[in-house]
Amino acid sequence: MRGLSSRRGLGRGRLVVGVIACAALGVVAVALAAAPPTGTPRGGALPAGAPPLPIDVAAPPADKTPSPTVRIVITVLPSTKKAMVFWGKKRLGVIAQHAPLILQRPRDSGPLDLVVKSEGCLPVQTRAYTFGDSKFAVKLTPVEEKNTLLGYREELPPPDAGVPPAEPDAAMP
Amino acid sequence: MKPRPDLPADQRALYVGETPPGGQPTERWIDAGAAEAVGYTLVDLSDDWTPYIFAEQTDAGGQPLNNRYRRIFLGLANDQLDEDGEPLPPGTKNYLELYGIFPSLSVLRARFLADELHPCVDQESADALDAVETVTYVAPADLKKDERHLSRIRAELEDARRKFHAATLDDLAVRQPALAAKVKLIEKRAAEKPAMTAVEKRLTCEGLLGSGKNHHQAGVYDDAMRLAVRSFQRKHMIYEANFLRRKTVEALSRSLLDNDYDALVRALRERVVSAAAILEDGSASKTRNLVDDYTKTALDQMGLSNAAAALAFFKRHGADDLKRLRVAVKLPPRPDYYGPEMDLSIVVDRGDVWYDLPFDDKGHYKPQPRKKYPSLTLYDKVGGKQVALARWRTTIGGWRADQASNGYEYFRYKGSDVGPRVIRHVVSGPVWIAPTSTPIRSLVKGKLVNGKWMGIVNYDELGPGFLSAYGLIAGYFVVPGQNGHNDFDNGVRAHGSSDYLSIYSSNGYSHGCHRLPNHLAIRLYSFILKHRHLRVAGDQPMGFSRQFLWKNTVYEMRIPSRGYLYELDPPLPVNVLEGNIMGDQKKPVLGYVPEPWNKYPPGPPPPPPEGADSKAGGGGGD
Repeated sequence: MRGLSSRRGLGRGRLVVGVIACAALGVVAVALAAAPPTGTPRGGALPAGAPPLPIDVAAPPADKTPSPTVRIVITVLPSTKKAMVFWGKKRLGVIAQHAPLILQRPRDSGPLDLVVKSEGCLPVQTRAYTFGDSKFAVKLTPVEEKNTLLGYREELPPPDAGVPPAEPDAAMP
Repeated sequence: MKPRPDLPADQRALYVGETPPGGQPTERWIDAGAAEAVGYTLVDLSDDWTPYIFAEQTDAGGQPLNNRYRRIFLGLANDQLDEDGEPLPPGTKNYLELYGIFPSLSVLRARFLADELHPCVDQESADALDAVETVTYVAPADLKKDERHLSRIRAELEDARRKFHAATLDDLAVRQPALAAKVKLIEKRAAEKPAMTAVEKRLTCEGLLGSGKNHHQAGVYDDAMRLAVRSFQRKHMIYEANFLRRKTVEALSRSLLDNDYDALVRALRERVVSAAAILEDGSASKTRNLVDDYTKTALDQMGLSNAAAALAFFKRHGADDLKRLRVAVKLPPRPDYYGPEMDLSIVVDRGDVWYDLPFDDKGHYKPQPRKKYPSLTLYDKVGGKQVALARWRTTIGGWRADQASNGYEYFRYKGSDVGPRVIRHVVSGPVWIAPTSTPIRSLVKGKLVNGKWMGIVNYDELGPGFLSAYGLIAGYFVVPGQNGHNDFDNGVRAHGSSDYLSIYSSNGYSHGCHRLPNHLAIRLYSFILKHRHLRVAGDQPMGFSRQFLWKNTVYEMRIPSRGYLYELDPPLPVNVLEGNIMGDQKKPVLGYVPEPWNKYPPGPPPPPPEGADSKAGGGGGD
């Protein structure tokens, strides 16, 4: 285990993280140093008939003594891609092929605003919550497919669009 | 009642007795339960107090139903957390009364004790501020132009003074009434200079000016000054634009402790309203203002009649006391129509309504004046007669920018539905799921994340939070489903709003919803929930995510919960009155209308999306 430390933005508390390479499981985990392992069951059942979810975030636990940390599992789609996950200035870790990045954070310590970067794809800004354990996949979009995304703006035609090109001999004398 | 100093904090209440002349009030701890049994009301002054909508609840089996936002609400009220629930940087203050979150008593105590040591007032500044009602705003870029304009008027008046042999400018104004307005202008602007200096001095002393990143240039209403004024207005709950207008200048001229006392009264008012479960604030009937009457009664009984008494109270009661402190007060009896199951209903009157486009075909703005503004009234049916308990200004929908499927913005009329509805669901800490037609530019904001300034999804606007498009609480208007069908939800809600100026603006419109200032929305729904049969459904987890593109970055909106649900059973009747249709257009325009100043791809605009989500809601609010 390699201990790292950094300061959060605006000096909002100290984060000490360790990076654990779990080769056997194909998992990269980023955890709070000295944080106890979490065993919090995931709660928050969804309403009946709800559509399949791209994300899974637990409801606040009814249990009066929840674990002090939460476990956040991040993958990418397609899962064959490799991606790096950044939290502000800090590189939190890598999502390898078929291997999620696992974070541990203090429970209810506020959200993590993350950026997921993968070569050839547009960067994705996403958010992880610390209410409870969660697991989610971040869809990556190749740069050349950005026109498939909500918010893509059709290009305006150039000002002379539709006007036939001038004949070479049509110039004024 | 018998003193019970032996009781633990959660079983006792403070009883404040007579104040001997020149002395401190006599106080004693009494049994809280016994006090309630003989007609006392317990006003909760604890630091962990929330309004009813965020109170701890349990299900039918007694299991706790946690509210995700309660922790953040308490952290904000106690100056401990920011809007995301992260620790507040040391020394930072949350001034959130305008957003419905009043400071805890511990925060106010610290403010009183600090301000006693640094009063921030001097006679010269007080005189300078007393001499003006407002201070004229001159944009920094217009300073030279403004000075030239004033110099010309001064020269003109000086010439006239000599010509008409007037001793002074005041004399000139009497002799030549045609010049009186110019004399008044010059005198007003002259008085504003020392007033501006006094404002700078005061804001600096209060720690609101000179501590930020923006440099302030003396005498100039620059960005640093605007931000300082905005903080001051937030600190003192002043509903004004960020300029030195009348209420702001009045508050600047008062002593810090007097302003602190006003803040204490405002905070206690919400706690008294909550404890007594009342709503009548004089807005529907001037003769029925229980909110002010009960607050005054409580303040008198607590011996908190002025700033000095409040300061003494906070010196007697330290931070430990304020962790859990309830005060027993005897309030006047509530009106006979009160009960656990009141026959309540809401009427929204849309007031004067314009369907016409607000601009002509050249893009020039066309004014659409309104004499009658929209209002929301809560009624109670008493003996067959509707009694109005509270009536507040609200908003209706109007012409708003909408983003079409081609990525361009168009105008679209987003009106407020008319006719009978019900509120079945009330959601605290609601989340607004931005429809796909929301202008993308409003869905991204800048934030310092772990030492790096970056763009993130604008969760402030989505919620939960005081800046959410739905504010801190929302009631969902639906047409009840018949014959086994679901309710029809067209996306209209009556909810709190952080966009408080829009509610009182002559040009303020929503996207169809009926906005209320957050603190009034909290009072309204707390009152309804306490006086109607309900089921606490609790947190509504959801796994929603949506990606969108903005400037070559994909933003992923991830929403873990819709909020905390209360289900009214039976639902609350609502009626939305059509109002007075003004102008030529007598029906709402359907479809998109190109903005005259915008460029678009060739062809007609795409059709607007269907569905409830697209009808109400949108960037910049609801």
